[in-house]
Amino acid sequence: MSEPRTSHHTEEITRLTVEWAAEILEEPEVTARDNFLDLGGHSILALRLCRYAAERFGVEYDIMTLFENDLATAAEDLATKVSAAPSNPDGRV
Amino acid sequence: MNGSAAPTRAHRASGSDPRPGEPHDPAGPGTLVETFARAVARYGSGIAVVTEEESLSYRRLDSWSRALGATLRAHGIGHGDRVALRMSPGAEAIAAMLAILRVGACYVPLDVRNPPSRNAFIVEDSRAVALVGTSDGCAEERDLLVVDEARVTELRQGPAPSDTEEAPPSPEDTAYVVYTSGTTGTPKGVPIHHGAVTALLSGAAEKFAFSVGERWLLFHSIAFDVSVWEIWGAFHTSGTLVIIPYRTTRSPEECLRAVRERGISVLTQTPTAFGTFSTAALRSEADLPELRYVVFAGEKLVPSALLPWARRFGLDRPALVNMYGITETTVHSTFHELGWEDVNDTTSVIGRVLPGFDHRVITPEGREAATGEQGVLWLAGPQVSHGYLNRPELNAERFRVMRSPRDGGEYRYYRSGDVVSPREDGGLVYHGREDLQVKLRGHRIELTDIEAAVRSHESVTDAVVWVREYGPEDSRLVCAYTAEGAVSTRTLREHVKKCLPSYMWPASYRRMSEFPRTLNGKLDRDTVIHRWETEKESENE
Repeated sequence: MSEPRTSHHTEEITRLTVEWAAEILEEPEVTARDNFLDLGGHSILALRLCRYAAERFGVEYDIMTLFENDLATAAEDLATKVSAAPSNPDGRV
Repeated sequence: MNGSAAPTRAHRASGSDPRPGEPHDPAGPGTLVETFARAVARYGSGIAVVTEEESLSYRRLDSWSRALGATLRAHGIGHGDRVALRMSPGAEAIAAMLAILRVGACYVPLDVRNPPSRNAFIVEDSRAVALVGTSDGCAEERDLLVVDEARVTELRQGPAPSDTEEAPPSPEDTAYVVYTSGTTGTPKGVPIHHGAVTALLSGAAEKFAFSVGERWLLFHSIAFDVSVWEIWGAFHTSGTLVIIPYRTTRSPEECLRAVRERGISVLTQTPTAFGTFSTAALRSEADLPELRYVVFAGEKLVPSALLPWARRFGLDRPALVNMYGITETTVHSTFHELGWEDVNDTTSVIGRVLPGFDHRVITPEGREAATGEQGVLWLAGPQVSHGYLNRPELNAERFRVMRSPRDGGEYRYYRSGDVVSPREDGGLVYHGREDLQVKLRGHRIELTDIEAAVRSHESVTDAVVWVREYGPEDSRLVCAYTAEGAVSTRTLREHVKKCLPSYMWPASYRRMSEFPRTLNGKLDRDTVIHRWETEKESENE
């Protein structure tokens, strides 16, 4: 039963990641295929994005993953951490 | 335009008019009044000025300006006076300019499209004693003597006064005062003396292969100093100054037609203006067989932008010449004729300084820049202005006596505020204004380089890049652009990614229908930035 729940998480987390990135970057045209740096993101903005994630899930994005991959990959990575996080045993989104 | 008869040197030796097409001899330094008198003596029956309505020979322009000069003198205007000149481009404006110079005064051009407050400021700041042309209220405010256009026109037919007492200027006397805005806001008056302009003309004559009878287009407002080059380039070469109405200069198609039908041989353009001219020329089937030179001035040239033009028209006729210059050093300071290696590259080579100049390139550490190293350009020589009007602090900051690394002599240098780097061959590469070079997250970034990269996309017609403050510790590069046809932000991002390192990628792009221009045809960066903020604000509402 855990399989569909994780993919649901990933989908939701990806949606949130794109939404947050668009808000932080003030760039309406963001998609999950975009890279954070390509969109003009920089380390201070990445930390801001991490803060959003920490407030919501108690875990943060991996900065290198965020810088080197697209937002979908960064979101997937975050979803894995959310599932594994002890502070979030239910994997609640 | 050019006569078909073979040029013969005998004509000039015997004192009669030189033939069109004959090699042009550079004149020695002197005054503009002497330069004009030389053309009258050599080429009196030749056409000095042609407008849409009329042609005027050197002899007729001479007697007209002499009569007008007598009138000015009768009003007490003479040596050392400053005279505001507010006229649309035309034969009258040229006659008035000559008359002012003849009596030993200097002209202070007021753009007819300037807001009245700016012209009032210029009249006040320059302490002009009279206004020739049409006042927009600035003369009345200061109770100036006005010689209006009707009076100027009237004197055209009048016989030249026979024995007028002229007070000819010396090369050190001011010929004109042009007001520039710069980046600080308050316009500052830049006085340029006769000898500075004649040094420019004779220096340029060494670099160009001008012939007698070149046809120069007056494209720029008389309030923009590039017009000095256009007007006096024509008179110095005993050529013809072709004057077109302002509205023609604003339409690339009309301008192209004028260049073709009027047989223009020397065309001076800002790179921005030439961009639209080139687009019109490439769209049309027309050839431009009379055009010998296109001279770029007033803005940074990105040579790769000229590639489509070069493929169609080549690089020989017309030759494309990049001339870097600033008002304070009399229109042009360098010369570089573009070759294929230039147009295949974005590097803005401006070439060597004109004869007479002494230059230094000083790094931020205060050293002389080595080959390839960037620094601020300082210029000394006969073309350097004697200093801004009424601005002692600014003069102390910008004009400094320093020792020349070339010959050890002490010269007065002007700090250009432009960043250049020396090349192996002694020429210079232009990078940009000091104030357009930014440091962002540890990287030194040339904003114009990013603009050039965006502009290199085939759909993009122009681009402006700047650093926008999104919040504390959050500054990002943003880009406004104009384009032909559809181009998405994503496409531009992909394109720029291929040209530049990541720290130079704009974070945000915004398309604008067109860019605002200053009266001089230069891109108005401040207004573009302002428009961005206004548009963003209205979207957030």
